[in-house]
Amino acid sequence: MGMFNSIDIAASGLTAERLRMDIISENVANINTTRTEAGGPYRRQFPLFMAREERTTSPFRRDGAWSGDGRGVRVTGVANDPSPFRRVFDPSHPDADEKGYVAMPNINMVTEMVNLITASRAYEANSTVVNSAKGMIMKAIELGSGRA
Amino acid sequence: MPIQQVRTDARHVERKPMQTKPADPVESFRRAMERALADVNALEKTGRAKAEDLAAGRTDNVHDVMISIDRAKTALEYTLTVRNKIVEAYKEITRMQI
Repeated sequence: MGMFNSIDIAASGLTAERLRMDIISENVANINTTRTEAGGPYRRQFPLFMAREERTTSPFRRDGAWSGDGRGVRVTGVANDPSPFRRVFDPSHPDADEKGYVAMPNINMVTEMVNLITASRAYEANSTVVNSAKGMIMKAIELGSGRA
Repeated sequence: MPIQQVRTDARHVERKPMQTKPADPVESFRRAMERALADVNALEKTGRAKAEDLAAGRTDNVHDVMISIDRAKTALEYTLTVRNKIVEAYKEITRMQI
């Protein structure tokens, strides 16, 4: 396990949370979008995270040592939320259907805000991991130098 | 009988010289230092390239840039400390003979 392995893993977490924040901001910006290029209202998106593992067997070796090759998290894609659209009765809207209902995006502001806070805290937590790992490395450098 | 066996062993050892000759310690130290400095140099180049990308606006992955720069700095400090310790040990050994 390299010296910087935990820093790499935390860096992948930082990237993933930043991407989640981007998608949340897009959801919030499009909360009232009734037209998209594909037709129909904007559909809520969320990122798909996958653990980036490169090992084929268990990371614990027979002698108890750790040979983990975990590389953190990877964003495999952005998925659409399949839940149904909100129907709002507004016959004056240009996108209203024949019954007068407008299909609004299936985005709940409260959910997005909670996800935003979660992503922000996760980003801070990963940043703390990076700092702590670097602190450990610097402590190791200081080993044996405190002679006085 | 046992004495004869011992003699055979001694002849056996004489015929075979040491298979792996250990590298000259000065040479291997230099090579280790060269390798370490090359690694540190590569890390620093990567960090500097990423910082340039950030300044030019080609990337907005701020934490990646910061981590690369930090990593280069840490690797350099680490290499320097290791070098200091090795040189100190070498000096102490040379002092021992007097």
